[in-house]
Amino acid sequence: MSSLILTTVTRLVFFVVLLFSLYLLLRGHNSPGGGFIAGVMTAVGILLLSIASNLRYVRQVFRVEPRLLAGIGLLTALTTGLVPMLFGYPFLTSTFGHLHAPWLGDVEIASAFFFDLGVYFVVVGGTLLMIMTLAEE
Amino acid sequence: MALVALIILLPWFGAAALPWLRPILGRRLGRWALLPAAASFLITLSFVPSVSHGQDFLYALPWFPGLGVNFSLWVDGLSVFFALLIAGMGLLVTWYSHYYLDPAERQSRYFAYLLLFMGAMLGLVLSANLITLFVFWELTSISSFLLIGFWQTRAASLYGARQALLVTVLGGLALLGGIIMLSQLTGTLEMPELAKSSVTIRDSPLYPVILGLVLAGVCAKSAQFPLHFWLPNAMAAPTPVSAYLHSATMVKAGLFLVCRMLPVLGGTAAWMYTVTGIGLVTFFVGGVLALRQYDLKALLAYSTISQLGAIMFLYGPATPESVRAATFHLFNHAMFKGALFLLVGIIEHQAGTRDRRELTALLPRLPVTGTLVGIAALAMAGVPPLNGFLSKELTYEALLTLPTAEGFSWLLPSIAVAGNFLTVTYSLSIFVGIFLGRRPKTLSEHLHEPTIGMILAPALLAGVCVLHGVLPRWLDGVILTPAVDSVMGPQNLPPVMLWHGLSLPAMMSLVTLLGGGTLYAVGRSAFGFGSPLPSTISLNAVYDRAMDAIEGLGALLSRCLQSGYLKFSVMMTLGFLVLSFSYPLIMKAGVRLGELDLAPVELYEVVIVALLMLGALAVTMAKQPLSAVLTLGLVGLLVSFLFVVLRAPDLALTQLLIETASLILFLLVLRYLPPFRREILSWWVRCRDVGVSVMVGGLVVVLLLIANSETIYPSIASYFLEHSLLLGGGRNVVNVIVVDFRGYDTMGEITVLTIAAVGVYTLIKLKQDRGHR
Repeated sequence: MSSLILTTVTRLVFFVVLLFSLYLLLRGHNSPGGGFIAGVMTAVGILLLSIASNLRYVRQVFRVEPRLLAGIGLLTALTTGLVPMLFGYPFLTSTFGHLHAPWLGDVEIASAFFFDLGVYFVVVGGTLLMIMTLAEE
Repeated sequence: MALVALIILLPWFGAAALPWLRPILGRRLGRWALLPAAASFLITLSFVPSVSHGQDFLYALPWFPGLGVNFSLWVDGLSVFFALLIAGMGLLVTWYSHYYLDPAERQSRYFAYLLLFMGAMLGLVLSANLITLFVFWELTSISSFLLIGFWQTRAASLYGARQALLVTVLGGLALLGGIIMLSQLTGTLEMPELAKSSVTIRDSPLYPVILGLVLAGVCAKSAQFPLHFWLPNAMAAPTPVSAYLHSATMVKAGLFLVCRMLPVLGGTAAWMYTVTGIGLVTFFVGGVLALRQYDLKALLAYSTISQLGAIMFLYGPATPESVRAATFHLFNHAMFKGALFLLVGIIEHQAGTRDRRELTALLPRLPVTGTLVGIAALAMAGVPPLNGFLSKELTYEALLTLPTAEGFSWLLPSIAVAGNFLTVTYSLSIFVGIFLGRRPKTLSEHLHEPTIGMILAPALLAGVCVLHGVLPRWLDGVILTPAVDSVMGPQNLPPVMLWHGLSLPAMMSLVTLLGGGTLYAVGRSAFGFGSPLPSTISLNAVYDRAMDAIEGLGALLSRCLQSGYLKFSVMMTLGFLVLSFSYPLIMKAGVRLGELDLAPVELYEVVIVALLMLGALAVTMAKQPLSAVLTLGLVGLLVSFLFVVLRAPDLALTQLLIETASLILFLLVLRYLPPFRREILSWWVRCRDVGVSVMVGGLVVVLLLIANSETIYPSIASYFLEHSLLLGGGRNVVNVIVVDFRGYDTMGEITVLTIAAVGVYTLIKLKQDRGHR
């Protein structure tokens, strides 16, 4: 069941969804959003693409193995937790600082963001792994 | 700190590095594995001068300070003695393995496992904290499992590996129980501290339980009766592994723990009788079973069990003399038994068999190996001037000076002599039976000595057997006496000498040798030595039965609980939830809902909730899967709308997205689902289903109300609200909680998510693979 309208629209909308999910990820620390929501949104976007087109098309566009992505996410989160231990702080201690970049103004950089990034990757990878396996079957 | 930690870490670094170095090093891998072992040995050696003067060092690194768990290391006479033994034997075994292993074997894996074990074992003997010790204890069990199962294609290896792991880990669990009780009783986990509160421990009503649990761990690890049966099956490991783990070091971990626990738990009648009793029974059981083995390695395994029992029972009386005898014998046993194992490895390597019936009159073919076997076997038998004679003399001396009940002073010494008859007998059967004799069989046609490198390791060990026998004073003063002193406190024992006149112990040694010799001479025909025992009465059969029973129970349980009927599974899960929660709720919390401070309910909230309930009812009435899924989606959307109304944007967003994702997921699997069948349910079934639903719903409502009522714990919500920006640097409290305040939880959750995803993947792929086949 391929519908030309659905396919075309999805391919356009997909990038908006992706962009919006990144926006959710980045702003999560201060406004509604965060790694989990952004991850689910990315996964839903990719899923939508795979329903509108087909799975093979998605695999072509989206080259990273979901399994690998989940692993990378888990490692990122773990590393964020381990780095403070190098400086003698307990596991998962977080810190944050402010950066004054030209044009952007005051940018807050929190170490918890990297943890959130890990969550994001795990959610994207995990969800895609489950759903793609089910869809391939 | 750094230096001591390096003793443990260097082998582990080596283990981590070897697999990566395999392409570069190739066949020289075994040689490079010597490097970390040698480094550990040298570092340990550097502690000898200060430790032999009675000094000891404690190093601690906080680990879970709140629980009293530290990564603390204790360098004293005992730990240095054991560490030298482990690193030294490790060096020799690594050297020997290079020749023993076929070049086609997975060498990097083998040497990595070996180094992994070495680090774990060194950590075990250097630990000062009981939890640290326990962690290393389990690591040695795991590395032993990996090494026994090294030849993965052989059924015997797999069986032996699994059995060894199960028995030692079960013992480890018992030990953990004992450790926890000890720490509850005394408030410390540090072994140097524990000895100070030994009076409290001995007077406590928990003392017998603690003693039993610790000794269960010891028995499992050190192959003491009735948990000895795993050791012969562990002989499926490559022979150098058997020499290293299952005779020289790992099986001594239990004895090490006995040494460490002696100042804490020892000195009572219960200790005396249990430890002595276990040791003596093991001594005899091992000795008798050793005589009935065809396989040379099995013979050595049972003789190891027997010798371990001989060492164990000396810790029972816990006099300075008996502990010294035990320490000596522990060292000597590592030397001669290590040598014997390595030499049996050579025979196996050169002759292709370990069967005693096929091996006779090997001495002309293998003169060097034969001489070395002779030295080691005679050392085990206790022939002067070899080291085994020395420890036997010390044992007899210690037993004769024991303070015993009136009229029973002869009992322990004569039991020991009788037990050593068996030792002499199986020692003789190893050397005389295999190397001497007249009738060379067809086997030894092209049998020849191995390369000099392979002989080097057992030759060194045999050399120590001779040297330590002739000149005991040297090692005694530097290593052995400090080890005894750190268990018993500084003692002024007379120096050990090879010959001290025609005293009673010397007479007893003579009797032992003569008696054992006679037993060997007449035993073959009279007692049927060399004929295996029927397996029905062995403890191994009990183990097999137990394993079958556990598997049967598992199958029964899964037949009962996993009927394959989804409704039943859901009902079991929910029913368990209701039962397990309602008891504490009713009995403990008492459910005080009177003090609730709830916000007023607005009309539009009532409307949304009413719609939600209608939707939920509609799901149950749906005729087709598609309509059920869509209605369910509608319910989800209403929930997220409710979140918006209640001003929880994060939750609303999450709910919305999850709802979308699960809807898509449903649509993907929908075409595999059969259409709903019209079920005609009896009145009783309907009532039951409604009852379960009401109970689950009610439970959740009560739980939510309790969570909000602050009756049990004060709410921490205000803390989060106040500190989110200050500590976490974020204005979105929900996100700061998830990634920062509760980061540990999130870590766990994403791990679970990954595991679940991989689980789904594996299950489906597995099914597909089966389908293809």
